[in-house]
Amino acid sequence: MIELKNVSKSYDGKKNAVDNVTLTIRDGEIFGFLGPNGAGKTTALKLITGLLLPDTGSIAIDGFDIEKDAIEAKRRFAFVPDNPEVFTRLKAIEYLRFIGDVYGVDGDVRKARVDELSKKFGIADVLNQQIKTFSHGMQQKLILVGALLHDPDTWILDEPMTGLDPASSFTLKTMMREYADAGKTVLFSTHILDVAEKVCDRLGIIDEGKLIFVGTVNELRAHYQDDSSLESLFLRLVSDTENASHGASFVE
Amino acid sequence: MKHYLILMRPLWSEMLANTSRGMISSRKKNKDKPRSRVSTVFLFAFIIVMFSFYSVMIGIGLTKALMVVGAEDLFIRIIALAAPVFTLIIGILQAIPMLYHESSLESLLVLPVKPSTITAAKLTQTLVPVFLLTTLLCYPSLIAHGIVSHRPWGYYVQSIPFMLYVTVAPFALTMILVLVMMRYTKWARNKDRFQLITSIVMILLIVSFSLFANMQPSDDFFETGGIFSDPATGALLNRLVKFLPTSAFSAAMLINADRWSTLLHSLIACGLNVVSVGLLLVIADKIYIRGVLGTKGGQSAKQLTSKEAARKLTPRSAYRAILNKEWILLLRTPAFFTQTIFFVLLFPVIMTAGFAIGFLESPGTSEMGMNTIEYLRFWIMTGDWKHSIWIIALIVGGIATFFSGTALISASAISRQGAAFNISKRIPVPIRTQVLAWLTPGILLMTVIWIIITIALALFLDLPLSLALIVFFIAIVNSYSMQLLGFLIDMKEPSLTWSNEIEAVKNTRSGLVSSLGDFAYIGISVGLAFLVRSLTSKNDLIVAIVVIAFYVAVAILLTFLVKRTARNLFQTIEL
Repeated sequence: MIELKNVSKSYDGKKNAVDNVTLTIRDGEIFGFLGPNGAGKTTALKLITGLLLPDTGSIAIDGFDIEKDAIEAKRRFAFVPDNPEVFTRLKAIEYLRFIGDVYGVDGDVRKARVDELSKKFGIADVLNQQIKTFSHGMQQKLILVGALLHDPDTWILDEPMTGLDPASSFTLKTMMREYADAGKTVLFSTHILDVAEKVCDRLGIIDEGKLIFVGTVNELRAHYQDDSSLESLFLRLVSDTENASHGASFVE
Repeated sequence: MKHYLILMRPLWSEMLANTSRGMISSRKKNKDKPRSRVSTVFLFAFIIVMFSFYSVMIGIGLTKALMVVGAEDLFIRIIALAAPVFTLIIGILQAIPMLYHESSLESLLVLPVKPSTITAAKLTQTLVPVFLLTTLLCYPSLIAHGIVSHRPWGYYVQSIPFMLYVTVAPFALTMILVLVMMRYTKWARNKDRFQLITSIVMILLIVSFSLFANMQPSDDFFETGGIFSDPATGALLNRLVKFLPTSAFSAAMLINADRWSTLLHSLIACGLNVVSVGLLLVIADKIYIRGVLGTKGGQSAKQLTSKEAARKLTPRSAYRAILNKEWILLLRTPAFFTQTIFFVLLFPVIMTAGFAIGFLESPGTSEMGMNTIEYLRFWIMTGDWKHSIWIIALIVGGIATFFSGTALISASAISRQGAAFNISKRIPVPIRTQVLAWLTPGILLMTVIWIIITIALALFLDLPLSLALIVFFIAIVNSYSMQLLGFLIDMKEPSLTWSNEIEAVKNTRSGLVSSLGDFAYIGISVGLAFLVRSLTSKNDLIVAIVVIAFYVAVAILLTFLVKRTARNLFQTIEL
């Protein structure tokens, strides 16, 4: 479970990139973060994972504060960033060993998971190569394998479909579902509204740092009394919010 | 021509940016702020003044020396030979990365421009820095030579085409060599391997030059010209210059600057240059683009068997995992390897060798008719060193402080992690463990260095064990302090947004600030020693104790500061 309480973050001290966000993401659900470019999705995910510190508010993962109980909180989640920034001079197998070591994954379990996941994502044949020789998509797959190595309770992904081939994208979506069905938490951001509509149990729509909607797609349809696609509902919501000077949010 | 000029504009900017990048670091907070034009101009002005100064000094000194033996024309032949050598070395080092390894090449190749235009633009982009650097090294000394040897006005006019003639044709031939090599062989296609080899070659060249200079009797070099005034060397240089026709005709042009024959020599040198450039363009047009396309493509590696994979996944502690990762990055990244491990291991050894050669070559320096090594050995043997431990502490402390400058700081710098620092931030490993793992390579390297230096000193000077241990202890304590200081500054002001690995280890803020800190630290320790000495009526033992206690106190203080502030600094680094 992820809990955000009145979280705000500003880079320049003037405008909030994340503005007073309060949100609870429950165990066993896939939660999608949607929003236009520059809305604050990546900043929110970086705050949740401790890469940035909030100016105000608090964030807890499975009850552990990301700032005060950082180590315990970090043990409980895995993060897949939008840009696969890794130590590219390491070989893929060295990177996975490093991740296994720092998360304390047992030797046999580690071997079995690397076998299984690297085959699932189609990188089993390149484990002995330096990461710098990988394409963007291959690096993304490696990070996904690394992220799942310690079987985290919470899985946080920033634009995870970017650069993935259709087969890997499908595998990822299936795995996200399996994870949520096993009672774990999956939080991801995306621009692809089709994916969000099909995969997410609930959505959070963020615009200019503010959370303007939290709920299911059906709740959004009910609000507008409109049965159209998530894409048109999303555009309408963002447009309404901007026209109403950010007053038209309906966060649960 | 129009497309050529359009292409040259971004290539020129790229070249300037490449030159100044890394020297002026940029932080994430200021990533949108354009780099200060003043600092760039200042940087270039400093480089020009520094090179020109050395060039002029060599020009004056060597000319005066050669005038004594009536061989001043030899100076022009020396320059006519040196310029092509510089062009060859700088040309190869510059050309392969610029012509084949730059990421911007792909964006050029897809443009609707004739391949010959791209080739010409890239060759120009390569030539300009090679020509400018060679000119910077040679031209000031050529002018200084003209003034000292009272050359006619025609000499100064002809010196400008002279620099072009002795640079452009060798450049063209060097480029032909590079183009053929890159098109038909594989040795330079691996960017990392190439960078590693060229960096090591460059460092070895510099070191060899410094050793060579050390072996010259410095006092009378500028009076006698050293080996250059030797008739055998002169004859050899005169013979060598004939093998390079452009250099031979250019030298003749300049030597005979006050005669009509200078025009004929100039014409022939110019013609040879035009032919060389023409030949280069014809060959480049045929093989350059094909060579570029041949460098792309993934590397293959042996696939792992299940048993190998299991072995390579054996669990370790978090500390060992981070430490192992640091060693791999230091060893596999050419910029990190040459700036840290290679430099750290090579430099003290070469310095020790240089000192040893200098000592052994020098004539008797004391009234007792001994050279410096013999004198120091005698001084140690008699036990007089026991009254001068404070001086030994200051000297060793100062040397250790300088040795552990940029190289050791870079070995521990978090800046080396770049954007991948996000992994360090989100792994569930206590900051104390991570800091210890980051510092370990530097500490180990430093220990190795001082073991080598202490053994070398013990062998050369017959140090007693107690003195060897004092030297080792003082050196280790000071190196450790400087490493911690650099680490703290790097944690406070890391450069994590670099696009080129060299930026992470060269001229970083931590390197700059700690270099200034080195001076302050040495100054304070020397000042403290003399203050205590005057207060204690020159009690050498107390002065030694105070100096060593000062070193230890600084090390303890910095350790305490790292322990106390690392967590906060770590948490406030934003990505």
